[in-house]
Amino acid sequence: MWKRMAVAVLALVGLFISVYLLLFKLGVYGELACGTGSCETVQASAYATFVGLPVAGWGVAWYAAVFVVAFLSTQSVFSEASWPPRVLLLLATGGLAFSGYLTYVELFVINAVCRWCVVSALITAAIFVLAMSSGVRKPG
Amino acid sequence: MSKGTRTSGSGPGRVFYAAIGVVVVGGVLALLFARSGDSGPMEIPIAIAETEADANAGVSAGADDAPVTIVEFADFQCPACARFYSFSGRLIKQNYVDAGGQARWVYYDYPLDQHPHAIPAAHSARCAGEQGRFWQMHDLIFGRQTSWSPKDDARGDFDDYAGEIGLDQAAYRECMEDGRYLEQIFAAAKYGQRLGVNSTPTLFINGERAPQDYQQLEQMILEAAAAAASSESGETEG
Repeated sequence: MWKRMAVAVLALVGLFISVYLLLFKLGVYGELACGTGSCETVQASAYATFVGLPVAGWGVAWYAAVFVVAFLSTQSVFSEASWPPRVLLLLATGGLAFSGYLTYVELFVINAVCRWCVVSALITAAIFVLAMSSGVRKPG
Repeated sequence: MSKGTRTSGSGPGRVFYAAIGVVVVGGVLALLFARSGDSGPMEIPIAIAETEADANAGVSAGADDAPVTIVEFADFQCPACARFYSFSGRLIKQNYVDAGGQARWVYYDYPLDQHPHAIPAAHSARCAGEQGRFWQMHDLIFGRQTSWSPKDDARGDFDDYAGEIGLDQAAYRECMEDGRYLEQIFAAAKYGQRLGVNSTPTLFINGERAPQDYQQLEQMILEAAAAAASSESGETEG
């Protein structure tokens, strides 16, 4: 149970980071520029948009979904249900793959690493490890 | 323990809800007080530090006697510079420099260390400028930034653009091999450094820092033009 709680808390932290990065991308915290910090460079790049929406927006949606599922799975109504760990694992796998792609782009394409993106990638990896070990029960 | 709230009353449950509370309160406060930027150090090539600043190292477009001077410090590989040029810069240049004549645009290179193709790109544009085609090359390099920027070596792309805008290829190649504009590129960046530039794009209108937004830029240009006109008429009357 503690692993699902940890996933929920981590997802909530990730959600706030994504909201910050989304507001940053939308210019709420100032104009985008290169040189003052790598986050500006990353956020100003073409890779900060995915399927027409800011990557940070996808992050907000993903973390919100993980939080909701993980939170529900800590409630007794759903604690014995088999779907929450499966959905969590599915979300975590997708998140890890996307996060890996974004980290690759930062390191080898944009040549700039945003520290908040790194924190988000680490949270995603931790969520994946916890989701893996939090018990998708084997049939039978 | 009641059904549906199994975790709330237990020890781990209390810690869980307390952690959620802390994250929510901390997150909201952090968002409210967050500011833009990592405030990292300037990342410009070392060579620039050994070059003398030169206010004449920029490339100019428009009439020399235009009442408004727009100065831009930019890095060809900076995504924010390409974004600025495609959303605001190009239109401002078209409307107020090329057509209106109210302003001239002076472009200064400010290649950041984090962008390995920034100097070759800048040099390529300067070599095109030698044949009177700086701005065509400038537009192509910025316009196709996402295509050449990820490559290990982008010089082939710049060579292709040189062909596309009809440069004398032999002269262009010779210019690139010579590296004859490197000093100017560094002198331009050094000048920017002297003006306090630490990010790209950085804009000035008649010496005053300017934003990237089209409408705000336009407003500043019109105000600067009006101020220049009124001071000129004052001089005439006096």
